Amino acid sequence: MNRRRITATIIKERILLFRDPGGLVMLIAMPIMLIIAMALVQDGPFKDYQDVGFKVVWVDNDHKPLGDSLRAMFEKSGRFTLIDSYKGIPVTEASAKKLVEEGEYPLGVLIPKGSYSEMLNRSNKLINTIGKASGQPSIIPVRPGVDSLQITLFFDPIAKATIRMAIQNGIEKMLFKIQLDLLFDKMNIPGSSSESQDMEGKEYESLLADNIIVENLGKQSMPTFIMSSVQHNVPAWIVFAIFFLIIPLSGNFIKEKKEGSRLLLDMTPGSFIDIILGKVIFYSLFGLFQFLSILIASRVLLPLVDLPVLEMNQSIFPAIVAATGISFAAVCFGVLVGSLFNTYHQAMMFGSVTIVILSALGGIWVPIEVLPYSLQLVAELSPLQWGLSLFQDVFVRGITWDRFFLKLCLLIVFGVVCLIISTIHHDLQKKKVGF
Amino acid sequence: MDGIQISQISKKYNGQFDFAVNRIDLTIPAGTITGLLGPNGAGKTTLVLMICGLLKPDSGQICIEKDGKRSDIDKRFIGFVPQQDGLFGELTLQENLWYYGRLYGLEKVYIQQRIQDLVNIFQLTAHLSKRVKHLSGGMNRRANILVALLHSPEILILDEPTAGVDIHSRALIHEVIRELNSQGKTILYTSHLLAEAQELCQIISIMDYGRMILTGNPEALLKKHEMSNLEGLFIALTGKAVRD
Repeated sequence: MNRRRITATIIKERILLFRDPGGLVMLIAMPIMLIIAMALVQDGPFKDYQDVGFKVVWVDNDHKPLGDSLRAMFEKSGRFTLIDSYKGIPVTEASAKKLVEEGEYPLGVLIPKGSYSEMLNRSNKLINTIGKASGQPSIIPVRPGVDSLQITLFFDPIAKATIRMAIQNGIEKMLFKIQLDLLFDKMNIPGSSSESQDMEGKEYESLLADNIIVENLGKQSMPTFIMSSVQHNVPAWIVFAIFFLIIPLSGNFIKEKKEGSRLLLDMTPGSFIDIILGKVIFYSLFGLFQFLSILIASRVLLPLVDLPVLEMNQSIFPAIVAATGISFAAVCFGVLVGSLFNTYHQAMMFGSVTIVILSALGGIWVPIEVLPYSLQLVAELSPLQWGLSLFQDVFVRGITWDRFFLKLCLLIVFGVVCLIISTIHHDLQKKKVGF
Repeated sequence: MDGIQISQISKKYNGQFDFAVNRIDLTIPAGTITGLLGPNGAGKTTLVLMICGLLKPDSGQICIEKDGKRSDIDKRFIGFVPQQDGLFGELTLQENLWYYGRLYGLEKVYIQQRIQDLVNIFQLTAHLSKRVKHLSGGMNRRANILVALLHSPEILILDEPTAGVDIHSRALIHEVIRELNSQGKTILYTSHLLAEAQELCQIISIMDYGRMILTGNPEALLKKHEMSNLEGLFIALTGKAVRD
């Protein structure tokens, strides 16, 4: 590696890019317009849309009929897949919270020990109350006091408010039905299951309220806020915009190949890797500049069109590190596309369509939890998903450094692999056709 | 330096039936201007690219002989002017020269001095701050030669340097080539312009169908084949059929 050659290439690329003010404006202005448009378009659907299915981390510390009934209801709904072990190890309260906090699963349910006992106690109290009202003496022994069942729900911090509310209400309804079934069973009323669904049950509500605790996960320092279209779209489309750098960069490579500059560059003593690195460094820095410009513009412009303000819950430093990693991966992918293809049209079509596919799979268009399970697995292979996940940690969840570095490493490794393939391809081409 | 030795060099491109260059032996003596001539598709550019180290031969060897010792081709000793202009159109001439100078590993002060000297020789001083895309064809060609000379190479290889160039630029390029040769530089030069080759070169080599069919001093070759000019000799050797 030759520092002089790398620096010269960085300077050359800077001059070339800044000599094209139209192209430069496109690279900054178009993503900003895209973000505003997408945030506006998705604002309504984000508030209303029905989610198709969820994986729920399931921790039943009670091991009594309450957990079994609740589990059966979850499974019967067809919208939930219950996860009670991870990598072959049974999930505990702590590991479940960690999995949800890290975004591995969107929701966790914890049934604490003693919940069923509390439910029985409540039923007994209710029977005594009804008996007392009809003039009969209290005959069932009960424990004093009314405690919550303490069933705990914990959500991925990026889960939308509507999803949280719908799931909480659904579980309340399930618990109400279980309690009512239990009550009718104790009172020896047959066919209670079907009848209980029709009952208003207002008189029991006072006893059944506050069964659920919703626990906010994420960093203690992170303020809670509603996951809005802005909170999803700005990081998502910044990743998309940065990855679109592959179009000018691959075009730059192809232009050099077609217009003869590559021959002169190859004629200079030293490794071609120096020239590639110069381009990678410059365009990665430009990607960072693009990120900061879009971020500032989003915070200033989005409120002007009645959209929520983008919340920044961390210092800017991790966001810059994340953006640099994303830029590096995107630029290296651009180098690969520019190396593999021989015409601008080939590179542009392949590059843009690949980005659109990877972004669709990677959670840019819609959150990946609404994708079918098989696609969720594929999504994990998309570099855009790694980038988005990094930004979601920075903007929403809060950073856990080991996870942050893991995703950053994935992006860097992806970039390095792209560079290695490009270099090998360049050498092979040179052997075959000379340039 | 004693020159470039080419032994039994061959190259066949993928998917092609015929060899682009087929078992060529050639010696380019140091300090000479050697003209590499041949019809279109004869294999001149392929041979030149292999000499420059830009294309790997399938077989054979190319080496530089210096003080009786042979070594592989070293790009530091070679300046190459390709057929196609390779400067960045959006950069000014000065920026292009700086960039290539740095890629050659030259010091800033040296580049500055070298640029001043060379732009004077090539009469491009007034055009240093112009973007290359705004230069005329002749200026562009001269600028490409200038880049190839930045690092003061001992060998200069020019692939059709005067193709499509106006008369004044061509005369200037000839003058520079002669001047460089008088300083002891070795020059390999491909061209379709036979009169130009006859006038400039001490040695000419004629290629056809990837093979070397004739090498020698132009006057001696004409005498031997009883021809009055190179064009007649060229047609006699390669036939009248049009090659595209």
